[in-house]
Amino acid sequence: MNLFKIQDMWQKLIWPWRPESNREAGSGIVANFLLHWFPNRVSLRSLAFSASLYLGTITFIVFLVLTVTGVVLMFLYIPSVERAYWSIKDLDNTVSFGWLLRRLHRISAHLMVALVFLHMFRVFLTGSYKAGEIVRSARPFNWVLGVTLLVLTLLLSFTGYLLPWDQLAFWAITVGTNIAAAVPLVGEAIRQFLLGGTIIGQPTLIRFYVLHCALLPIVLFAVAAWHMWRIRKDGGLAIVEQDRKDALAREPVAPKKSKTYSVLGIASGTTVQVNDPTTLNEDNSVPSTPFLIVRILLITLLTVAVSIGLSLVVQAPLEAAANPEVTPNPAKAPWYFLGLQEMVGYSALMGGVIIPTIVILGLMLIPFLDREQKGIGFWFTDGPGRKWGIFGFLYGLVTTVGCLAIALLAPMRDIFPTIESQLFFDLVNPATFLLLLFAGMYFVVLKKTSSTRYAAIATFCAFIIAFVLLTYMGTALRGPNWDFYWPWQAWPTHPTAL
Amino acid sequence: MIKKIPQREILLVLIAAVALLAVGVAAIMYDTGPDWKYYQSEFRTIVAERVANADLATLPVGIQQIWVEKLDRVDRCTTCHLGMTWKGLEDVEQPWTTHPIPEIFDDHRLENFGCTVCHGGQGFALSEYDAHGFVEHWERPLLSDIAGSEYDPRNPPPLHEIQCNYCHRYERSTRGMPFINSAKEFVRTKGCKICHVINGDGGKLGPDLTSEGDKHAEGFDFSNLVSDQITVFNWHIKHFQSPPTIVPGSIMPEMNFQSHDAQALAMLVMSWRDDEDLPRAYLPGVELKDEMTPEEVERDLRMREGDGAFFVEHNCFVCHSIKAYDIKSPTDKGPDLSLAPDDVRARFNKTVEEFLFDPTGTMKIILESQIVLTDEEKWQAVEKIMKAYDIVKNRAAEAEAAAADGS
Repeated sequence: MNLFKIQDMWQKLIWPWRPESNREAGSGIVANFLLHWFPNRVSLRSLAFSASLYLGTITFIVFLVLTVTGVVLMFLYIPSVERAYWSIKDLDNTVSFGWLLRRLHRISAHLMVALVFLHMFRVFLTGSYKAGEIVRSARPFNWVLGVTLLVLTLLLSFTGYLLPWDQLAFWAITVGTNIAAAVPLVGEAIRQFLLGGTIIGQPTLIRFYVLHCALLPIVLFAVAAWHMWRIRKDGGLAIVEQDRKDALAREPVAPKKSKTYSVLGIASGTTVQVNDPTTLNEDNSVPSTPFLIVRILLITLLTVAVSIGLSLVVQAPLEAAANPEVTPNPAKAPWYFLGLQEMVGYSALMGGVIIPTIVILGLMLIPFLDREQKGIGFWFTDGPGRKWGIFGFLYGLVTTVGCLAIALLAPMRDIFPTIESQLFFDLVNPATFLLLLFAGMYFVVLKKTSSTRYAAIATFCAFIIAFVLLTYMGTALRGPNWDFYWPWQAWPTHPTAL
Repeated sequence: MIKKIPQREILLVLIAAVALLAVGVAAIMYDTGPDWKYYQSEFRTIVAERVANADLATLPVGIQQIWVEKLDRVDRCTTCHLGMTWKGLEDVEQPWTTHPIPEIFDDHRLENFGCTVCHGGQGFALSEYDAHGFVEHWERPLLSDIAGSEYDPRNPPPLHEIQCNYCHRYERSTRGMPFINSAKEFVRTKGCKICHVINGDGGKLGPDLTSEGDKHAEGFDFSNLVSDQITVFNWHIKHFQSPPTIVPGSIMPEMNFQSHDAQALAMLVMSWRDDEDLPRAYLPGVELKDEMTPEEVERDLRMREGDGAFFVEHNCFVCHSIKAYDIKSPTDKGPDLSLAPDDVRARFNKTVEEFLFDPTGTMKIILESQIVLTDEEKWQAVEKIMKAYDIVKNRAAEAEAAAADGS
């Protein structure tokens, strides 16, 4: 009797069961929490690397790596202005694998920010924010969740940036929060709310620590779970719309409803699968177990291996201990804000407040502005889309380089030496020019093609290149006193004591 | 029908797993093979060869650290520099050698000072490169001859004296610090304090130099320093040699300092750092005692250095005043020692000499336990007491004569 029980438990542990039919595989998945994560069957189109490049999956794995390393780091890090810096020094020098923990956490954090951007680029370029014509899905809403996750990721990275409490951290956060202070009327109050005072000190450190280790990860985890759950409820990746089209072509009759349940009462209406029983079949799909599972395993192994591999070669920098009395020259924000910092150099109001607000709002509104439903899941939609993408890319390249050249060679204050009004320079500067040039292009392309999608593609591609160029400018080409240096030009020697 | 996973996919998973294993093993090897383990095992060999009767089992194993709470310092240098306080390893090479000046530990005990407070470097780091601190963003590297030879390869300035003078700044001169001592002499002879506040005192014409050593490299204007070495040290050297060249319009006079004099002065000003966090006990030359009036100071000095110094030194004055030498006991529990010859004869029927070598009563206990004198010292005491007796007798005779004259 007891032996039977043990054997039973062992059976459950090793799970030797193999599904004999699709139906059995389905029941198996419904019965198992971990496997419930994935749908019963997954479309071959969405399994293909080209559909998503697995960027969202990689982002989530990197987030898990960050969670694991972050929890261990919480045991070793002391969030006090006296001890924080020295606990990081001990991590680097003495704690077993402390260097690896810290490097892995840092490299993963940078990777996560980069991956979130890349994932967003992919989702936009494949038109995956669209609802689809056959079964109206809630993908537009999931795009909004995605933009929220982008903001949360930036906030997580930004709050973590302060924690080592070295000069890099202290001054990056100083610059970052000064950008927030450029908001009219309430800017100073926002800054004070972020810092818990007028300068960065112990109140700031504990604020950022709690935000970074508790509040933001929990919120991000919840929204990320929602984001991924929505993908299930919308029937999978957007490329599945093409499977639906094929199914409709095969059986041009109205699909029969096979299920009646609603979505657990959490979301309104029924899931798309209720109205869509025929999309996935033996030919265009495979069971998630084991196909998707093995694929996820592959992606996980590669992601972790690459992260650790990078940690072996990329050191985590640690500058001198934070010193409010010594400003490093140049003082720079974290890299993903350096495009903003570059524009803040022209106008704090335009570069630091108006443009980021327009960008975030504009990103959130994309699926509601562009409601065309063709070519969902295909990169750049179709041939003309590709053409407009290249056009936007080149247009963005030329206009951004042009605006940077204006900023360097003909600053507005040199052109209008007699004007003293700050408002004038807030409105007339290279950042405003860039904004107007992009907005103008959107409407020109829209008029020419009568397609919101093509206009969006062109604008988005211009935005990508502008973001990359401005970030590169702020990161690599700006030296002491925010002066311009070519990549091959050496910066002035940094003075030392001895 | 169940489709099979393509073999290519399985192969990719295997490759990824091997890759993960490889980076994992690389990380473990990197973490578990630090240099200090090699240095510790070598030290074991050296001790076995050189030191007779050494108990190898008691040799330190693992990371060693000196935590000096009062200085808020953790130094792990002794993880590799294991022989510092050993005898017999003087001619062994670094990092196992004995400290070149072992007597330094007499008044700088290792557990009270650690290493970096004198030598600089990153005390908590464990790899040679990081620990010696010639790394970016570490402001206080090891002050060895390697650092000094950047400024004079043949005769490197002893930069560690900068750190010595962090504590010894108030001393007039200090043994073993020739450069700083000569610089301090310049400060006195060249009249620096006429224009500058130094150690909290001086003129207001030039900037206050009391915390000059805390000034960060960013706070200096290097635009007129023509040199490969854009360092604060070099700025000071060149500035001492020709102030208006480095700071145009400066009215500081040119004193024609030789290069070593300029180096010494540069070291001195760089040593002037804020010592607020330094416990007073680490600051020699700073006296901690109650305020006294000039008369009290004078009398204290007279008691300590006058003819009766012997009795102060040996604490006799705690109970006995000695009128002849102007020594006043705070308690006056015993009789005045100037009158001891009469007193001892009256009470014990002995001479002073007999009493000191064979005391009775309270003095027996005190001379056996509290104030133990050698025979030589006892003879000294007798001689001084007899002299005091003569002085008192003479004074009394003079007073009598004066009184007789007066009457």
